[in-house]
Amino acid sequence: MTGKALLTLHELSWRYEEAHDRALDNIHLNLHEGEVVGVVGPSGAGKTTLLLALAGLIPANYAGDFSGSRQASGEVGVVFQDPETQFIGLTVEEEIAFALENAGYGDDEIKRRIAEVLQLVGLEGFSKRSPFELSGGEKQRVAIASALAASPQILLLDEPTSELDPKGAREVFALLWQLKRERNMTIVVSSHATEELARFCDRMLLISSGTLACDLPTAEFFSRPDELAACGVYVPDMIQLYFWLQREGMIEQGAGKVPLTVEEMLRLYQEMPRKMEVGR
Amino acid sequence: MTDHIVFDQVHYAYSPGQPVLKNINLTIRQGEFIALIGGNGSGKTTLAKHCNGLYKPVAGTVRVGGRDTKTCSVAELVSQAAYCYQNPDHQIFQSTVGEEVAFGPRNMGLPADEVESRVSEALQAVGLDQLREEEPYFASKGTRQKIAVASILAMKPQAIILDEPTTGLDHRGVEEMMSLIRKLHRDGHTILVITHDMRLVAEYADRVLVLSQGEIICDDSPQAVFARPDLLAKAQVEPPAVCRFSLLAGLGEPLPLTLSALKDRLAKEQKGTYR
Repeated sequence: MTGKALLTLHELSWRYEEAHDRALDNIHLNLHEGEVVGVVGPSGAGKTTLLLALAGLIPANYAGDFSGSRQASGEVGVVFQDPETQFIGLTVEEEIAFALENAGYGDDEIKRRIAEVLQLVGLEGFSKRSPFELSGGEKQRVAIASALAASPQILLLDEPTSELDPKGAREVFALLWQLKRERNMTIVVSSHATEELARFCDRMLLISSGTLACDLPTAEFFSRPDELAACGVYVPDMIQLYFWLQREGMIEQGAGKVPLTVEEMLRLYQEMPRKMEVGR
Repeated sequence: MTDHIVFDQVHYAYSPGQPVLKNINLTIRQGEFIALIGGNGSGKTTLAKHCNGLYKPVAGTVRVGGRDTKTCSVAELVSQAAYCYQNPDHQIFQSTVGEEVAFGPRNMGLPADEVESRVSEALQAVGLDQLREEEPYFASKGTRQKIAVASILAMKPQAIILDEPTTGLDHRGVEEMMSLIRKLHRDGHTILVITHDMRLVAEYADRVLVLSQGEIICDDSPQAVFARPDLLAKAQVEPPAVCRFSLLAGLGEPLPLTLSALKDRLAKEQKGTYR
């Protein structure tokens, strides 16, 4: 992976107070500049805990046993699953201003940043609206705008689309992609929506019982469909189709790379060798 | 099939001048498995809550099992239709799973032994028999979702309306919930399920209602609905990957809805070219 490491977890283990097992077990992980990293794994595997550790909130704000280390050379922003649990302002503007005021920014700088992040997430004109009255996708974009206001280099999102309709989910993923492209941000996003992750992520992590069971570039990650399925991860239909076509001998082993979108699968299908159509 | 829930020119608004449902005409027959899809704010939950009398139309009528919902209470309709909340925590309030499930039948005034047998039956149906004495709040989201379904089942409604029963669940949780719903359907229940997951709609439903801005813009089989991405775009949804691939690849009718149907089609196509 090119780009310098912005955040490193080294031999990190964590057990919540009163829990029997470790929630994270000996995690080694480097996050680089400008990569979008997807995190998958069944409920209870440790996805949220990993994000809390990446954010430094574990061990700082939680009780438990911590070992190993975390080194970060950039600001980290966090967006939680349900944006309403993090809203405290009565207007979108107040919501975004809150963290900036606490960080001691002046009024003019706060205004400038609010305007900038609202434009970035496509919510110009929303500053006086109540965050509670917005659609699910808009709420999640306000939460992202709040996290972005402090200009983090790394953005961590915990299942940001699980409560959203398909349009809201697409809006959020499109925004994440834009943040990578325009700002070279590092983004870590956990989700059960593997089809979207396959489409948007450069790299994928599989968390299984607190361990980092797999950490690979997206196409290679999905080249192990059986392993993923055994860990309770849904392998997107187009990827399942690709490996089936290979097994059936309809496409050659290793022909092209694993299709991460419908369009990529379609191209492979159209290039599939077909015999002369006779006797039809 | 018997007509079970009939909407006749139904209008609904939470505040005057802002219609949420506009002229809904809809007949749900006993034994159907219907998916209700559409973007946030399209009126899905509002429509669903009319099916058991939780909401009464501002204009028009809804008949459930032949009875006008305006003339009877939700409790009187419970054997005909029941609504399962989107967020199980809006529904769960008792201290044990067993008590939670017993609440409905007890409220119906059933004798204790009948309540007892219904609770056992409902918990067995969702596979949570062993959790009867446990507290419901600390269970996983998937389990809480099942407790909510069991609470509904204990009232033995003919039609079960499920509002986003798989939201927030992981893959295994989704599969378990959908198998449970399929089993209820096979046992004869009419199913109306609201979901954003088009893959599930394609795999499970035999009829799809597409709602956009309070109107049903399409009411058809999954094959027909998913063959029209233009129309679905209006309702802010897109067909599942298998359907999008099949349409782009020009596979023609009938549109494969599931991965296994698509594999069968491609295998046949391949054989055809070898002949």
